[in-house]
Amino acid sequence: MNGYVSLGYGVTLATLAVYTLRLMARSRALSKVLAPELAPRTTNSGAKTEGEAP
Amino acid sequence: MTTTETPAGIGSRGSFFLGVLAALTLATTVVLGLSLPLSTEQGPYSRMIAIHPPIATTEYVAYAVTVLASALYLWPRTRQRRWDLLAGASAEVGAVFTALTLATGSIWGRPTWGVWWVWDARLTSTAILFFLVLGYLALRRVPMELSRRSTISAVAALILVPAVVVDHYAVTWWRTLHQGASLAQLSPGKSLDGAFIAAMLVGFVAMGLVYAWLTLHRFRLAVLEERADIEGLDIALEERRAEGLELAARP
Amino acid sequence: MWRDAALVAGKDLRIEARSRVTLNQVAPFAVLVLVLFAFALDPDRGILTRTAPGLFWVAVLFSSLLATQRSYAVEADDAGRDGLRLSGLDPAGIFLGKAAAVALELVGLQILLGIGIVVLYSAHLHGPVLLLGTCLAATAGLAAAGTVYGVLAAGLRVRETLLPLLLLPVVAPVLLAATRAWEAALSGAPGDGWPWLRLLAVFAVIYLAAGVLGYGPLLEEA
Repeated sequence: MNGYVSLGYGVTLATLAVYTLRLMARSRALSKVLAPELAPRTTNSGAKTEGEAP
Repeated sequence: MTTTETPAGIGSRGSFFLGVLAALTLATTVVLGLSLPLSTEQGPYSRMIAIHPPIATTEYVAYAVTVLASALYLWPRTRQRRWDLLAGASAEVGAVFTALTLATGSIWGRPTWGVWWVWDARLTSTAILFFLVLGYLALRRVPMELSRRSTISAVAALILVPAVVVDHYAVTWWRTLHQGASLAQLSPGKSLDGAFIAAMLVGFVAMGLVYAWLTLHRFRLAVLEERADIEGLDIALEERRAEGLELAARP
Repeated sequence: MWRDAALVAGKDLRIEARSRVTLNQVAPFAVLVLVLFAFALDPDRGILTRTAPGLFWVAVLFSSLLATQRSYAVEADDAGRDGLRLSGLDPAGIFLGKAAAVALELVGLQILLGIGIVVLYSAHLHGPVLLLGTCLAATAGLAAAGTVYGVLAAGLRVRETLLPLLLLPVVAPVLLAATRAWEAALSGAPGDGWPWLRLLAVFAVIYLAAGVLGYGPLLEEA
């Protein structure tokens, strides 16, 4: 196995893996922020206007 | 709180299938590429053909998608948020592929040409393309009003058209150290032989699938990011309010 | 459109004439760049003389960045851009006016830098027609591209750092073509320089057309 060739394949696979992991980590972090709010979201907008009315 | 139908993440059954397919094809490419015979001119280094040309071509596809989505956003009749987000997602994945193009090319050039980098038209125009995209991505991260940022970014993305065209034809217009387009050598009687062509074609499919998978997920992430931006304050307010209520309810 | 352009160009140049920022800050900066190159490259071995065209155009490029930023900085205060939008002037005219003002400043800077490379780098200027033609085409291209990208970045908090990143890769072909054309002229073989001059002219025409067509919407967004 040649050094340069393995380096080329290694860099490619590693970069794609790192980018993928970063995407997943970012989505997990965002889901944590959005998830508690997500379920009642559609009803929430209606409920909010009622709640704010008085 | 009821269960939700919309997934909060960026995965879905379809994209999972696509991901598995992309991973399998990529693995096949690596196996095929690394088992290519030694070529007479380049020795083991011609094994890079299974990844380098496919990565470079996928990069063009990524920028084509960016430009197309930007144009769709700019045209008033098709103006939708998602075109802007798709343009950004595709450009970011494209930047990763451009970086990989430069990296794999450089790694191939060191043993073959004896240097990591030469100032030839293809390499130089690829480097400039990379910096143009970095500028575009930086522009997208500037905090400003959403519609304004989208319009400005969409206009800025149009510069990618001449950049990609010059990059692609650089090997034809100027006499370069970089060899001509790999696909053009597929016609019968040219220097590339069967095993190399097969490995490269599998590479094209693999990189295309990887690109599609990454862009799809980056796009969904962008949608989430935008929602978090817009609703983030509401969410925080609600949380604080809930905390307050909890405190008040305590005996 | 032409009358509006003259108005805007007159306004920008009048501001420069009164504030003297270009004269007192950008021009010394440009010459300073030439001096710094002499520190970086060994002046004794004739490297400076041989690379004079490239160094000249790098200095011009940096100065054009400053000139472009300055061109929009003068409108940042007192809602100057809103004033321009409300003025009812033709956006294409505003673009041409601002680009013309930047171009005139650049021509002045190039004269200064030209004297600079003759004096400091002992370069000999041959082929005046090609040299001047290159200067004109490159200046038009730089001013037009700078004005288009300047309005993109104008009004952003990060404009000082963003504009170089956006603009420098775009004008890289100008640096390349202008340097090659000048090298051809200085080496006494102007025949090699004409294709590069054509490239510069094409670049200038493209960006002038882009600015004339697209400046209105961009100004609205900025």
